[in-house]
Amino acid sequence: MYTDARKIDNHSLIEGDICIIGAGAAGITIALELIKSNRKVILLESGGFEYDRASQMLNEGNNIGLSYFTLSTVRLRFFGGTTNHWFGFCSTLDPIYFEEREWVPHSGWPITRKDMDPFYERAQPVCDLGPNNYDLGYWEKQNPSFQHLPFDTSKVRTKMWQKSPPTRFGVKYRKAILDASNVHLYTFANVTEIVLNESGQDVTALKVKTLSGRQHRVQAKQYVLACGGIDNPQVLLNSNSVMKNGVGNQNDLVGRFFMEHPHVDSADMILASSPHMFLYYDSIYALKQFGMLALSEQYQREHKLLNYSALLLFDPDIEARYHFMDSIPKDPKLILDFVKDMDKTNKEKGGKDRQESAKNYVFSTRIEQTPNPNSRVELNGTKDAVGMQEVNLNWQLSALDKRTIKEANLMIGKELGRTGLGRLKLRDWLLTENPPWPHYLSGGAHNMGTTRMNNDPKKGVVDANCKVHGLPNLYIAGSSVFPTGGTANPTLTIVALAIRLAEHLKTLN
Amino acid sequence: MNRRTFIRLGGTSVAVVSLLSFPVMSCKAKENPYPLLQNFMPADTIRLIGKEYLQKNTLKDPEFYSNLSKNKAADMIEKDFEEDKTIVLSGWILSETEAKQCAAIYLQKK
Repeated sequence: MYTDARKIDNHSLIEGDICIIGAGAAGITIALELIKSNRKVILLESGGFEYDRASQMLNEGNNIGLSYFTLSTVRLRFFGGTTNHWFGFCSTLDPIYFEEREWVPHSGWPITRKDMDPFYERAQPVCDLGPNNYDLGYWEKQNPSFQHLPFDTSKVRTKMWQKSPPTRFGVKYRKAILDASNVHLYTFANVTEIVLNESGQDVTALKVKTLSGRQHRVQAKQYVLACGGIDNPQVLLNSNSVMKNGVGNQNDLVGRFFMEHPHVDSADMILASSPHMFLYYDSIYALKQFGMLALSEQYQREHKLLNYSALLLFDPDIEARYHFMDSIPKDPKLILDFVKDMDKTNKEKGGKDRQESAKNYVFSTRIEQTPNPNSRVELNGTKDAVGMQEVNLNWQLSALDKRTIKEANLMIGKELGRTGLGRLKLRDWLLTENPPWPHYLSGGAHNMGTTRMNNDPKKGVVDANCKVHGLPNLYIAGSSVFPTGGTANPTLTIVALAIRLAEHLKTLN
Repeated sequence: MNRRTFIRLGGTSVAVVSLLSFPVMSCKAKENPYPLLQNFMPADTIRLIGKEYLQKNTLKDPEFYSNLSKNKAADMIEKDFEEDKTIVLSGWILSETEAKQCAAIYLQKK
């Protein structure tokens, strides 16, 4: 079932058992999981089924920290959410990411990788991926063209990835959601406030507003906030009628610990010969599986580093790479047009081996970011078209982030020399002590950490079940709950955690 | 040399070999010889590295490094990497022996 919230009577009361706010990867996955339950599910989407500029402009905000994507382009407001322009890179988070590492401040999840395994298994088909296997040896047996570089595996390894088509959740799952008798989707429904009771200990309703000015109220037994790493804190912080610092923010944690996967070209590699590098090809178009260089767990522990990965770009347009951030369109529609072309090319070229003989590669480094409380999303006082305060994003990195890139590159450079494969040249910005980040630093449009998971309310916004501390009926889904981000793109883990949350919701009365 | 030049020159390794004159001592070639920098790195990059080495260090025996046989040089470079005797010059992560070879080449071509 589906209703356009602009077309129902003003001040309508919408009731259900579980209300999911946001129809992106997390929200749609939870709704799909609940289809066969006996729960009446309300799914609220800020936009419609197609890109709509007015809805998209509700994403506006300011970058006041490190150079970052324009906030109105980094995520999308229509059915399917940001999966409408994701590239489909998927991998699981390694076990070490879940651990509390004494050299990584604020690290540690309240769950382990083993807890996640059954949900990763179930997330694979949701994202149209192959078997739940990220073992290099397995994929080398499946594809004889895959040959890993012969580095010392106690230092550097090849981390395997799978490529989703990419699944456009809003397209693929639209029919299943609309056909479900127990799921009612409301489009153009913007949640402007999570309403608490007077004591602030229970969510009693949601205030919903449309861009056409209609206001509605939603009441459910449980609520799930699934709007993404920037919008989840925005909604919580704007909900300040009862709790003046915002919902779930009694310990000033909401919006803090914003994390990305810092992407930065950090080295140039020249090879002595032309080994078959198919395994490492970087194309966003062609491959269903591929490898990236990564640090072994042993090396991370011994050298107290974060994880690191390097995508090898062969013979890239160096000039274009230097102006990467400037080249990204400011209009989200242009990005969507690019993605449509990408999907078309993807279908035409999918999975074909290419006998390239490139000897020159750029290391496009993508690292784990140190959780940093000063890296944060805050309200900025400017009201948007539905009366919510917009956000400032203050993305900050730490010294460990930079040290990780430099030390990892030095080690890999020595491995290249030891094996006789070639040599590595560090980029100039890594050659001085405490250098500034280069202008071509970017993220991956992976917004994480702003409502982090920890069983201690003083250290996290949600507990291990993704329930907001201090509230019995408010849950959060999505990458905002990640305490650390690893190096894997977040979508697969978002989906796995969403399935896990849905299972939990099914157990509630 | 800027970074773009580095990439463009990367495919010219065949030409690079002919630009450089390395005395070859008579010795048995290895089955899979360790590739020397001179076989795959642009000549002007090698000279740039050599110049930077000399700005920071003194090369005590340039003749020795100029006259190293391919096999001897390969053995020394491999050993350097195994023993972590490395140096960063112009951003390149190199063995100490090959850095000194670059310096010797720079002096020869000066």
